[in-house]
Amino acid sequence: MQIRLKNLTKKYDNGAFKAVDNISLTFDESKLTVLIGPSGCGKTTTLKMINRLIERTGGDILFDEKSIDEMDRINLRRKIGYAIQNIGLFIHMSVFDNIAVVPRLLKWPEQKIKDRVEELLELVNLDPELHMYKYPAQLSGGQKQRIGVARSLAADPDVILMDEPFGAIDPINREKLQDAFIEIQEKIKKTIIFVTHDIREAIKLGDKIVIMNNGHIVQYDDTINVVNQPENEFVESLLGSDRALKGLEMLSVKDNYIKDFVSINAEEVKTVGTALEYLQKKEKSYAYVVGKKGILLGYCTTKRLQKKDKHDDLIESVIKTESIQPYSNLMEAIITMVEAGLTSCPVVNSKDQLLGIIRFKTLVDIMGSFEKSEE
Amino acid sequence: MELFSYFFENIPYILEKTWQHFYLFLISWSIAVVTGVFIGIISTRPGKEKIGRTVLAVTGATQAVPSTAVIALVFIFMGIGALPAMFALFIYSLVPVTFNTASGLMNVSPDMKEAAMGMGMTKNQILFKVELPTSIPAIASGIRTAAVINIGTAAIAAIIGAGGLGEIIFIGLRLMDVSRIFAGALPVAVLALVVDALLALLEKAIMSDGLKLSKEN
Ligand SMILES: Nc1ncnc2c1ncn2[C@@H]1O[C@H](COP(=O)(O)OP(=O)(O)OP(=O)(O)O)[C@@H](O)[C@H]1O
Ligand SMILES: [Mg+2]
Repeated sequence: MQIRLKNLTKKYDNGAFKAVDNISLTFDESKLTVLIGPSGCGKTTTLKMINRLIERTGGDILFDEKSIDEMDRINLRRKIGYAIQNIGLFIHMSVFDNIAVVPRLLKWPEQKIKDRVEELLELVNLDPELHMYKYPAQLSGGQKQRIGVARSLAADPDVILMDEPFGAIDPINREKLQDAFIEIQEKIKKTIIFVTHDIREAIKLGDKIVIMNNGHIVQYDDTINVVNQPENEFVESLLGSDRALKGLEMLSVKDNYIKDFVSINAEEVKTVGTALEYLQKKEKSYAYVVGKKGILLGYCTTKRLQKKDKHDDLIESVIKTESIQPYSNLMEAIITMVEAGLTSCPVVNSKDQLLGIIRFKTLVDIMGSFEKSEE
Repeated sequence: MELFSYFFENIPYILEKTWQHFYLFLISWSIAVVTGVFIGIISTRPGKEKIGRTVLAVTGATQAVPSTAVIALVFIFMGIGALPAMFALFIYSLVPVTFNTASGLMNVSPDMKEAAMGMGMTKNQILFKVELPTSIPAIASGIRTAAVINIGTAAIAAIIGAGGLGEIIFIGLRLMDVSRIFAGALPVAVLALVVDALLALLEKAIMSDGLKLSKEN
């Protein structure tokens, strides 16, 4: 579903103050559009006018060209997923009941609701068995935000409004949630309007970005164009000075890793001796080692193996390593590699299965290409 | 056992007075609970914030009025008997129930209410599925306070001819008969404790586990 804002305006104090001032734009179907700008610029107001928690004072909002006035307010809200700025889970309801609210309002049969709740919990990476009957007071901040996201998706709405859904979370968990969220959107392809005031989050998640200031739109474009061609100084200052690095945040690991690489399966290769032979045959100084179902165990080097007896268990000589997930962006990959001192890093899926490797050199090359476009 | 002598010699009479006392309490208190919860809800509906705050201010202040003053006022306007006494008890119990219901509802997290509205709940659904269930601790504590002070005040209401256990106490006071005073006061205390314990059980039974957990943190 496409949403069009036409001269949308919200005045307060008898017209003396315009929180949103005559904005017109179209949110594309199946795209994630980020609203970003300084505190008080009108992001939440814009969002809440779309589900009529705030009534506009001028202009119109059209869902697939149908005016919002022609729709019943309650029905409209049930069709729009909504995650509020402060999560707002119902503390007296279990995780299950929280997620089931809108499906129940829509009178879905109980069995369908149960299946849906389990499906959503899997989607946000929480074990249904373990978490379904917990209460909000028993969840961590990150888990609560996941439930908030799951709840907004519950009735499979075409449109989802999210107001800083990852706002209250520490940076590490925040990146994990963002990764999970990108993966979810790849699957569900909804029209999402996502408010944040973190430019890195905007670049990472947004197909398109709307930059707002004082109730106006400063720039609205595809993310890559916003990064490469900022409209004016305001956008530039919002982007910050390190645009080459920011550029890396738009690109994800999944499009930049190598899939043909040498690995050793510890299920078949059991001893140091056979591993060494294998490495020498492939002319490699090291290789990643995987176990059952291709799960990454670590890596081994010829140097280290040569110091061992060749009948020793290979597993004992495996060195643990950092890894990264395909939906992480290249900025995160660089940070992980610099911190761990790696020149290449294994890429694993959410089940820890080895998918490929990403090279530091690739990242440096990409960064160089951004620097050129900046000139 | 001097102290218990009157008590054991007059058990049927004391039981009769206890029943009368309980009856005074039950009628006045139940009507107060229903009325108080109702006023609490009505005065806190969205858009009525001013009324809600006024109700809180008034009930907050009147909680400090001594029970004897209420009884005296009712006596002036309505005379003596069980009915004026029940009316005084009703007014006196109404205050904590209304106060706690209104303050409980006004303190429901705005985030929860906004989420509920944004998800498409109607006003009534928000009241019954979100506001009331999360206000149970506040409302229940108002109802329990009302019950305990009602039972205590009912003893004083004997002054305006309400009957009940207060009658035994007042006669005892006039005759300086400690055993009689005791025989009236003991059942009042027991009644208050038992009613409070039963209400506590009821509160526990209807309160969600999630709420209990979030109160612990
Ligand atoms: N009820 C109201 N009456 C008057 N002014 C209001 C009202 N609600 C919001 N505003 C003002 O409207 C402006 C926009 O508010 P809004 O909540 O949309 O900001 P925001 O961009 O979401 O900010 P933040 O990033 O802090 O959440 C602010 O200046 C705010 O003070
Ligand atoms: Mg906001």
